[in-house]
Amino acid sequence: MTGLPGIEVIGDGLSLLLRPESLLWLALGMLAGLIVGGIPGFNDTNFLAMMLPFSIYLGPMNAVIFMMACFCASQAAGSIPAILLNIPGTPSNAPTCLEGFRLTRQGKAGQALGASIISSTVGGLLSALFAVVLTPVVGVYALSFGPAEMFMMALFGLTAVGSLTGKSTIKGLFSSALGLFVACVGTEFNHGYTRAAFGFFELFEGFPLIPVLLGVFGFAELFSLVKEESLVEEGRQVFTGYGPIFEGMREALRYWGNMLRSGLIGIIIGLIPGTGAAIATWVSYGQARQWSKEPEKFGTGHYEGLVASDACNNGVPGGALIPTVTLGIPGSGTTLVVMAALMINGVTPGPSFFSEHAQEAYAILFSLVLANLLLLPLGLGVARLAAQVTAVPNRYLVPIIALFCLAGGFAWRSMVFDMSLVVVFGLLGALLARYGYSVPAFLLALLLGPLAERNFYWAVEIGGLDSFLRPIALVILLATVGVLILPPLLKKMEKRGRG
Amino acid sequence: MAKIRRRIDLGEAIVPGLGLLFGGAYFLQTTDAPADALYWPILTALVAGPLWLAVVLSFVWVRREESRPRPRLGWLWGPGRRVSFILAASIGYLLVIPWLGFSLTNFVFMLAVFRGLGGRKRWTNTAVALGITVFLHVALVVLMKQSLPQLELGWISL
Repeated sequence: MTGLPGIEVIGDGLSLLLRPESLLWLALGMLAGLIVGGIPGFNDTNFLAMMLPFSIYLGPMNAVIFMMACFCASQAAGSIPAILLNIPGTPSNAPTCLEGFRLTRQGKAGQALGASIISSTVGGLLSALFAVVLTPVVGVYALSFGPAEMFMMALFGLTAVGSLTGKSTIKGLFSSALGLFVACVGTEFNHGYTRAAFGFFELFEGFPLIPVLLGVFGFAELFSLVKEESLVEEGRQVFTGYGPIFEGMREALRYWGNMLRSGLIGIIIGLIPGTGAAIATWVSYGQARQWSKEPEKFGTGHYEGLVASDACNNGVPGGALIPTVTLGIPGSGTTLVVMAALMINGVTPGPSFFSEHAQEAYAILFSLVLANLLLLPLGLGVARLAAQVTAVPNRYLVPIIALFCLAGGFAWRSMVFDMSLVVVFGLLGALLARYGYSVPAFLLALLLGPLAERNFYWAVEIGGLDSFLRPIALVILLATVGVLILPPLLKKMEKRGRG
Repeated sequence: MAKIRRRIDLGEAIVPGLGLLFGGAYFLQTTDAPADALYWPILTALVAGPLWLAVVLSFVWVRREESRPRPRLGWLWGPGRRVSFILAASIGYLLVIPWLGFSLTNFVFMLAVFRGLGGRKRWTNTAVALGITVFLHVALVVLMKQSLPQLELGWISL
């Protein structure tokens, strides 16, 4: 068995990263990530896939450093349009919209951006350090997640978000069920039968996530923005200077426990191949609400929810990198591209990666630490500029947001049909929000539906119903039941206590 | 003891109604599907069904004092029918874009919506619309090479 690399190898990895050439690619990756993450509908996976052919010219080290820096920065930058315009820059920023945009409406855009930056930095740093220290030993445990555990994880996410984010538990759970049902549209994986595409070939693969997400979040918000003159509610202050950003950072740091827990959730879910940040942030948001002393404030512009979403979001890259480099199993779409960049340069990630390329492996891991350290100053500069958008009157902002949503919807698959989905789901999102249903639960169900279905089939095929009784699956099932029972129980206990 | 009068907020029926319509259309479309392909949707419907019923019962049996003042859909129109205006403008955008191309449609859409939402400064409206149109054209068509619908004018594509 190969032992762990010595301290000299770790030092060599660090010095490899600190070469001017590597630092330049790191800075360029950060810049590209901040831009790509800030544009709704475009994600880092697509951008990095487009960059893949150029990675041959960069070499494996520079290519991966560029990609990891871009990954980190885009995760954080996706929060900027989520906070300012209620348009999630990447799917994982959707929970940020719930709290961040409410804060913007209250004239606290600067505070929200500050809270987002510090949470992203802390979550990212935690994840990067975790990756540096534990990558050689931890990755192997992710393999113990089979289809039954993956199904249970999906069930847990849906129940947690559904029961905690609706106006009532029933409406929240119904939103989850509705989302699961809508996710049943499209070609089924077992027989290749196309289920209810309603005559549209564009729906053969089901409802595409990005247009639906842009619709229920960004476009739906237009129906409420259009009724008012300004983004910031009347009588509230428009954001100026760095003061509010620092104030937001202080507010966020009050929830340091939540910040660390959310970062850890990001790392753990990032570790599980095939899950990704979009699922992690919802789980983290749901957990933060469950543990919160003020759960009723969630959804009204509460820093605790914002911290949970952003710390977790930036916790994912480190977690996702671990199975990628140690097992050759990418934890997310972006790490899949990173792995491809290594492979086309003749480096194969896997169990032998640390023994054969220890110096390069540590340089890649340290690039994650450095990228997260740079996120704070760079994020401050970008946030200061971006927050000026709150001073723009709604009559200008509304059509611009509408265009960004429509163009973002198109960009995903280059189909005009997807633009109509943005409008249709925009209207549905407005209706769901208006009548107290849970938009997050609906979206998460749409995202997890295919994953849950596939893993359910596999689990039953492989081990029958008994496979759901394996220890890890059983623990997740118990947690799911706990999520359903605990909130009303705690409420009852609180009432009794107050009485 | 005073009798509690119950009333139904019709707006509350929209989402369950849409859900029911979708479910009906879904199973109608999949009548020829192999049984295996429908296990998961049926399982989902079995979970959704009781929840749907619970949602419907929750607003049908709501107490009067807890219900909204009047069942109406005024929010859908908004002040000056702005909500319906933006919805109509977006539908118009989708209908026109294959003919006018991405950039020209963006420009016309913005000018129309600026005006419709109360922007009276003609030059400001034009400058903002032009700026955003050029930005989106450069970003999406020139740099990202997106194959958006374009209007071919011989020497230029918009």
